[in-house]
Amino acid sequence: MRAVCAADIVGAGALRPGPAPVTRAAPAAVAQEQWPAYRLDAATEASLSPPGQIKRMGRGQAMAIAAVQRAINFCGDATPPARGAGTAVSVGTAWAEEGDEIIFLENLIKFGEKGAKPAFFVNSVKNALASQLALTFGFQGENQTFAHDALSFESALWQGARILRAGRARHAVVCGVEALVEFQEIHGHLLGWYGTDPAPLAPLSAEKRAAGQGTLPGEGAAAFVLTAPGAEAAPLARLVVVRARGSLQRAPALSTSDELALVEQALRDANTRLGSVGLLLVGANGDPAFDEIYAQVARRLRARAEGLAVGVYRHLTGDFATASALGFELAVRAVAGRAVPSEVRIVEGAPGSIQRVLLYHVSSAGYHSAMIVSA
Amino acid sequence: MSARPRVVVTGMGIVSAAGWTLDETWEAIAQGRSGLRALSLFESQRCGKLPVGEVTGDPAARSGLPGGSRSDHFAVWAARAAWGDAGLSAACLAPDRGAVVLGALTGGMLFTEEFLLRLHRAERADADHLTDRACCNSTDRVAELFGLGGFRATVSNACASGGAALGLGCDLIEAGEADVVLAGGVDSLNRVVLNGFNSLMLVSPDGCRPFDAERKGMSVGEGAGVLVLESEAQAHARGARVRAWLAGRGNTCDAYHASAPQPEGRGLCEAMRLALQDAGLAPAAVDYINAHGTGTADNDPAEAKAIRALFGEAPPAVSSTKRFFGHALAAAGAIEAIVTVLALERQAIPPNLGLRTVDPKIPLAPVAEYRQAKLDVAMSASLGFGGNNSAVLFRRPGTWKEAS
Repeated sequence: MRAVCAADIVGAGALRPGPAPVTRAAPAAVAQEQWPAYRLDAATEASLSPPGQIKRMGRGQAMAIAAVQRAINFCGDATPPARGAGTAVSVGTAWAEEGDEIIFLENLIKFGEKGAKPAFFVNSVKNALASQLALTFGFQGENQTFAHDALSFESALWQGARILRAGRARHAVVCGVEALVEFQEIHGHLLGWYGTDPAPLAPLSAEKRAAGQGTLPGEGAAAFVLTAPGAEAAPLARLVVVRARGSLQRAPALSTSDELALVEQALRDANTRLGSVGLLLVGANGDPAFDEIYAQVARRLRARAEGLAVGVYRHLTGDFATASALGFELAVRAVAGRAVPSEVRIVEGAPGSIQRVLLYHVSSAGYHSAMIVSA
Repeated sequence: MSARPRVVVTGMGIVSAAGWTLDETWEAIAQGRSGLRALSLFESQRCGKLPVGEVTGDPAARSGLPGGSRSDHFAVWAARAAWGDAGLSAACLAPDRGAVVLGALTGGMLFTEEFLLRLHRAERADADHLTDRACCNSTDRVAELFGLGGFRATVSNACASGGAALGLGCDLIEAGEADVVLAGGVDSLNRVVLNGFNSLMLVSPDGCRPFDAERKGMSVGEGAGVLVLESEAQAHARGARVRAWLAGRGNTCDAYHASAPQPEGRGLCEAMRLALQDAGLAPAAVDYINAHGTGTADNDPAEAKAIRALFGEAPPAVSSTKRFFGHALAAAGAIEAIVTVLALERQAIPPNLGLRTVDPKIPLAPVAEYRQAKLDVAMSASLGFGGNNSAVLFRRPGTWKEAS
C-alpha cells in the first residue's frame, strides 16, 4: 500500500445517529424485550431527501447522498467534484440496502411469488448506493462497491486513492455507509453481539457494561472528496496510509502482538514515527469482552510514546461494519482543525495540536485496519 | 506506462451450468450444448419451469468445505482449480503478498430465505447460518483455504462485478500491493434473484437468445470463475505457464438509470475505450469480443450500439455465451473472461448459441457457429444494474515481447 494510497482530502461530511440509543420493541417472534440502538434521529431522517426523490430509494441510498452532499458542501475553496467521467465513486457498505432485500423476501413469504416487487429487488443489489450517487450527482467515472464486512470502507478508501494515483479520475468520492435494519438486530441479538441495556456506550471507560451485554448496533454514513496529492492548494488533510487485513481463521483468537504488527506496518508504510502521532483513535465498541484488545494495544503503544492521546468514538455511532468511516471523518476534522473534535472522548493522555491521527480498528471476525491521516 | 508491470493470467478455475472444469466448459461450447435446464434447487410456482443455468452435482462434496453456502462451495472449487492450474503452492509466496478479490452479490441468500421462512412460521429460527449469508464469506473462505493474508475485498458492482474484480486485481499488482491475486466472481441461484428478475419481466420462458429478433429475455445462472493474476516477471521467475496477458481494463458508470442501460451504450463504449487505452491498442487490434449479451430487450441493442460506436463499420467477431451457462450475475464477468482466454488459447470463436435471426435493431452480426479463427486480442464486456460497466482485454502469449 505504502505511498500509492496517499490522497488529499478536500471535503468530508458525515451523518451520525442521535446522541443516545433509542429503544424499540423486539419482533415478537424473536424476543419479548426492548432493543436499544443508535439510530438516526427524526430530524435527520426527515432531512435525508425530498419525498419525491426518496420515493424509490432505500434509506442507505438517501443516507449516502446526504453524506456526499455534506462532503461536497465542505469543499470550501477546493474545486468540487464535477459531473462526468472525471469523478469516481467508491463505496464501502457491508449490507447496502438489506432492508429492501428483506422486504422483497417477506413479500414473497407472505403473499407468494406474486408479491415480488421490482423496486425492492433493484434496490437489493448492493451497488444501488454507489450507482445512486452516480445518478444523483452525475458522476460517470469508475464506480465501485465494496461489500466486505469491516474491510468495506477501508477497501473503498484504498481504491479511491489508487484511482487518483493512476490518473484515472480528478476526484474520487469515497463513502462508508450502513443503514440499520431490524433483520440485522435480530441476527446480532440471537448471536449475542448486542445487549438490552439502553445506557449509552462508554468504550474503554470505567463504566463498563455488565458482562454479556455486548455492544449496541448503530448506523450512519460518512463521505470524503479525494484528490491526488498536491492537486488542491489547501486540503483538509492527507490520507497517508490505509492498511486492512482479514483473518486466516474462522472465529480467530486475537493477539495483541498481531494487532501491534499491523499498526507498526502502517507506521512504516507512512514513514512515520509513533511519537509524531497526536491522537490514536480506536474503534472500541464498549463491549467489555472485546474492548480489552483495544486497551492492550493502546497500553503497549503508550508505553512507547508516553504523550500519545487515545480517543474513542463509538459512543457516537454504535457498532456497525463501516463505522470506521465515521471515525475517519472525525480524524480528518481533527487534523483540519489541529484539535480533537469535542465529540471524541479522550480516554488516555491529553492531546495537543493535532498534526497526525492514527486510526485502529479490529472486529471479532478478525478484520483489522490501521489508517493514518496527516496534515 | 512502460514501467507498469504486465499482469498475466497463470491459472483459471470455473464452475457453471456448462461444467466443472475448463475442458468441460469448452467442450459444451464447441459442441453447442446449452447448460440451461429446469430449476430443481428449490420450488417455485412462477419460476419453476423457467430454464436456468443451474449447476448440477453436489457443490459441497466437490468443494470439500465444511459448512458454508452454495456460493462458498462454488468459489472454493473454482479457486482450488485455478490455484492448481497455476502450479502455485504455499511456498511460492509470502502470506501477506497473496490477495483475494471476488465479485459477489447474493452470498448465502438461501440461508436468509430459510431463516425468514422459519421466523414467519413461528418456528425456532437458528441464527448460526446467518453469519454465512454475507457475500464476503466466499472471499474469506478462499483466503483462509490458501492462507492468503494480503489485501482482501468483495466487489459488488451488480452484474459487472466479475470484470471489476479483475480490474482491481490488476491495480493490486501494479501498485505493488500483492504478488499473486485470486480474482473473479461467484454467485448462486436463490428465490430473490429469480423472482426479482422475473418481477421485472426480464426472464425468458424458453431460454435466452442473445441478439435474436425473437429474444424474450435472460436466463438466470450461477457458478464461479477465478483467475490467478500475477506480474509477468514473477510468473517467469517461478516458471509458470502464462495463459494470457490481462492488458487492459475499463470501468465506468452510465449515471443514467437504476436498472436499465443507457440506450446508446455510452457507458459501456467508454469502458471498452478505456480498456483499449490501458492496453495501448487501437480498436482494429481486437479480434473477438465476448459480449455481455443477456438477451433482454434493453441490453442487447445498447451493447451492440456501444460496439459499433467504438469499432465502427467492421467490428471484430462478437458472440454472447450466456445460453451456455445462463447469466451468472457477479460470476458472469469472470466466467466469460475465462471463456475469452480459452478462445485465445484454442483459436476459436465461441458461438452465440440460440441465435436464429439477428434483431434488425441490432447493428451487429454475432458469430452463430463455432469456428476456428486467428485470435490475438480479445475483450470481455459486462454491464450491470445501476449502469455499472466493465471491460477487460486479453492478449495471447507470443503477441508481445515477453520478459525474459
